[in-house]
Amino acid sequence: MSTSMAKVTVKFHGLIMDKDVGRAEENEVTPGTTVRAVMELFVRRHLASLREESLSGDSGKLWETHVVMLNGIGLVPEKQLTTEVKEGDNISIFLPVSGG
Amino acid sequence: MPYFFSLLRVDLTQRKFREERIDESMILKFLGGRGLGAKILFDELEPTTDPLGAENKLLFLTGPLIGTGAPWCVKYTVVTRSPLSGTILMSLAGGFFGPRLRCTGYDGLIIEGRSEESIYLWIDRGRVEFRKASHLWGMTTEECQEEIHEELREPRVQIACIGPAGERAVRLACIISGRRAAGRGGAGAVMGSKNLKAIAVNGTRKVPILEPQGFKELQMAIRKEVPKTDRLKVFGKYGTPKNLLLVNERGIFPTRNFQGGMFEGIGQVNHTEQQRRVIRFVTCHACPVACGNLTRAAEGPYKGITTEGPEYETFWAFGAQCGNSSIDAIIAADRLCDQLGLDTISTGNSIGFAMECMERGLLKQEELDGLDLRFGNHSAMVEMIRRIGYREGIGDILAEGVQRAADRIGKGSQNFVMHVKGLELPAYDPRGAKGMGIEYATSPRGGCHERGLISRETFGAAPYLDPLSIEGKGAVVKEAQDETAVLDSLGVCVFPPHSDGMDIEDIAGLLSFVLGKSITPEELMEAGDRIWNLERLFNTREGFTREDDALPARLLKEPMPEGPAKGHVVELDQLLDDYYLTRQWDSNGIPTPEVLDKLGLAQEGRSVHLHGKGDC
Repeated sequence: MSTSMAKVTVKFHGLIMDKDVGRAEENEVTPGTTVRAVMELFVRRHLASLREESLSGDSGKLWETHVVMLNGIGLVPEKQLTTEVKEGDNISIFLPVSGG
Repeated sequence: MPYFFSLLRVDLTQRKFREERIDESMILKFLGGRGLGAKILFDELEPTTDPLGAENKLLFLTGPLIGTGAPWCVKYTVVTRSPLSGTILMSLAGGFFGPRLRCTGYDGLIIEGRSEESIYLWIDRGRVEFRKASHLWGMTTEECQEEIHEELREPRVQIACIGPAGERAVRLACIISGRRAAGRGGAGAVMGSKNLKAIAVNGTRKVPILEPQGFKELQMAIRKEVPKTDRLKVFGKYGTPKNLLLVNERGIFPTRNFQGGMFEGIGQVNHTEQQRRVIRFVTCHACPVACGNLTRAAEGPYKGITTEGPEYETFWAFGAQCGNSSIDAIIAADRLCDQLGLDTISTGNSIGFAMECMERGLLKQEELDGLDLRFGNHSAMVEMIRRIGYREGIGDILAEGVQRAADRIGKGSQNFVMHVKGLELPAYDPRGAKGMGIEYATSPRGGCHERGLISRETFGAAPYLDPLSIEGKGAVVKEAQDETAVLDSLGVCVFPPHSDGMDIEDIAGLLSFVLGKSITPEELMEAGDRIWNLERLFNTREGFTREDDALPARLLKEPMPEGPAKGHVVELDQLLDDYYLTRQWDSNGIPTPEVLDKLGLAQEGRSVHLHGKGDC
């Protein structure tokens, strides 16, 4: 089973002050895991810090507000739900779009 | 029609002034600010007027929502013919000057002629004074404002002024009020050419709101939503620099004069690094978001220098564009530009261009008076700003703008000079955001992102829009441009509407209560379309055609070397065909008689003799 695990990197850009610029975390997930599921894993790990920043609401549901990219390409929420990750994928999470 | 707006026409040559009234029909058609300015300049300015001659006019205009207390209704607009691009120029600034100008009893100023000696204007509760400015000439914008405050001893006075760059007719010169800049296109040079150092305004007039109760309820309802809106909260905390990491990751962050789209120094130049240096937040008049940050440099030779900002564009201009990853140097560069009265985008772009010239051997160190202007050399970058502001050495050439500088330097440098119509490009690479290519090519003042920014394409806001596709981009850009023309003309900050803060229906509602008559969102959008077309007519009359809706060769011929847009160039011809069709312009980019008739601009169209027969 372990031989089929996929390594996926989650990069988070300025979501948590002083802790995270360019920081990347590697996750080992089973094949068939969706982008959304990887993000949920990330949120569970960092929920306290995210709440401290008060930027993601109480729910920590980043996918409802934040910008998510897979290998540099923007993913709409529907695609986050259904896109399955594979070995070597990079997921980037950014603060919500605002200003200009 | 009853009058609604009152303008002060000032003749600097004769030292005369008079009040003129603008009737309501003009406001309904052109809204105010940018739109009204386009109408006045179109009607009054002779074609091919020298932008730096006495005949050019310099308009300071507000809109009917300015000073009402409604959130984000704050910006004044400077309208003139640009000395940088030769197009019509609209340059906007927030802060407090606009609302205070309206309190004087005048909703705007039309400045004409040229004073023989340096002066400043003092407008206080309807009273107008021409005051000597010889003691202010040579001062930085900060010193000038401090000195005028000292002289007038009126705590509520607001001042718009130029620095040494404007005095020397540097074509990159801006107008500064407080620490806010009417930045782009060289309005500061026009002001300097008129020997007008500053305009100080004060007043207590309450601006008219014909249905105050409805207005109050609506604006309070808009304000109540602010603390509940995630995107506004994020924007309030970080301001525009929040977008640095995102735009870089999308591969459209121009690096080293657009040679790449991803900056390796982004880890040192981003919003979290800025937050470590923030002293306090800064706000404009009546703003519940307060996106500005007063920032202090933390390390090295710049330690202790403070600035209001820098904002996204300035972080780029003196960061990635110059290959510089010292955030403290960017803070110093921003402050110096404000003091000298220089547009940060154009200045940073120009220095990045000179750096590429040097690295390619087109500019020798001796031509730079010994300055080692390599990419990443931030001390040379900061020194170069000073030389541009004072027109010293090579700075005198760059002070003419990057297009003229490339013509002067020659040797093929025209192939990598990054401007449209002479206005230096800002901080997005359209090879990875194709709609931005149309926006750069067609913006009325030249290479500008702000007159039709598409958040969906540039930042990935919902609903999804493929940044690399050219499909349907003409219509998307047109809508963004028309909406921005509305926001600009009413003096509404463009950021909250990009952040769920206020939409076109809210704005129509506010305007309806102010004017005491129903204005629909559709009527506003049509006004935006009208304003865009009138500005196009102005430029057409000046001789601009499709050939001028161009992009730098680098963006058309050199594929993006990295990131998500790797391999892409801008398919400009196809994009323009689609855009012109959407706008109902002909294949040369000239508005057709049909669209001008529909928008009530038939007379203006005829006056341009667009089709040689006077039939449109």
